Amino acid sequence: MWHLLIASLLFALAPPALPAQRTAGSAEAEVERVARQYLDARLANDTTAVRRLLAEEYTGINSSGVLGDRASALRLPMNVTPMGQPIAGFEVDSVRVRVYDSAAVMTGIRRVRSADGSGGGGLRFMFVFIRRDGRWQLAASQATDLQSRSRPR
Amino acid sequence: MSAARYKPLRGVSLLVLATSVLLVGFGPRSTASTSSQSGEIELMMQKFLAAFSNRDVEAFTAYFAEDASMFFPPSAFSPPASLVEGRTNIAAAFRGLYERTGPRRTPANPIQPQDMRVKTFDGSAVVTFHLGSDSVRGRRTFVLRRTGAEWTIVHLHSSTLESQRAR
Repeated sequence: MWHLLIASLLFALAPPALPAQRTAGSAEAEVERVARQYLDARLANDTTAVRRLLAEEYTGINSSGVLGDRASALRLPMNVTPMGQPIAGFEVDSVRVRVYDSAAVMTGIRRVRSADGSGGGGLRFMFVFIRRDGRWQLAASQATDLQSRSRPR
Repeated sequence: MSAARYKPLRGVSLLVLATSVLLVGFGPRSTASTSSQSGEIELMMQKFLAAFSNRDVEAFTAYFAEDASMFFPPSAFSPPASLVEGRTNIAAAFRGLYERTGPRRTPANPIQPQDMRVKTFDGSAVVTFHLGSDSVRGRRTFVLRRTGAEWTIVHLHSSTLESQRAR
């Protein structure tokens, strides 16, 4: 009886939605893996994969400052720059991932490789992921050119 | 222990277990509704932007989490080019920026966010808006986290463009 009572009370006091045996390190690695899947899916114009990886409420701001949603993010072709230049690949570095329970913020530098082999400009990017139904989905993003093409506010 | 004595105890245990499940399911998770959360966030953003308009570094950086990070917009005033991590470093970067940019913005010229959008998730939120005009447009994305009764900024991504170019 007492075993059951103590076990029940411990169960009651446990924090809700505790990630099952998941360390912060492995969650960060998982977020990075999902981000890579997302970028690869865009490169491959894989609409099915991108749809699965984007949250319904997705909001994105591209490097031209244009605000988009899930529908615009799924518009083909997905493997072009905001200026319409074909993208052959991405190189991502300076990655930081912070996981806050069921949300994660990933930042980094993304360099675009053009289809003609020339290196494109670098972008500072931010991805916000949310965890739903046991998987991470991209909920928001913003990208900014590393080079200034602006004047200060 | 006889079966006659054991049966009532098992009933009590099941009752405790059921109560525990209810506590786990409805106790700590009972937070404000999505609409009231959006209202809380909009109010918090108003206060943040008022302090920001006045360049009151101490006041507006209080809205950042201790481990917050920020991308400053590229500009002629040479803000930090890389990710700035930590509330203390963000405050120092703003102080340095304001020293270079000159006098304080007057309250008569407050920051006016346009098309503010708030999306709330389970304990977190994303706020986006733009600033300026079509010729010079600033885009801001705030990532917020709810800690207790407070919303704090865990990340801010800022960009400014001279003109928009459609995709």
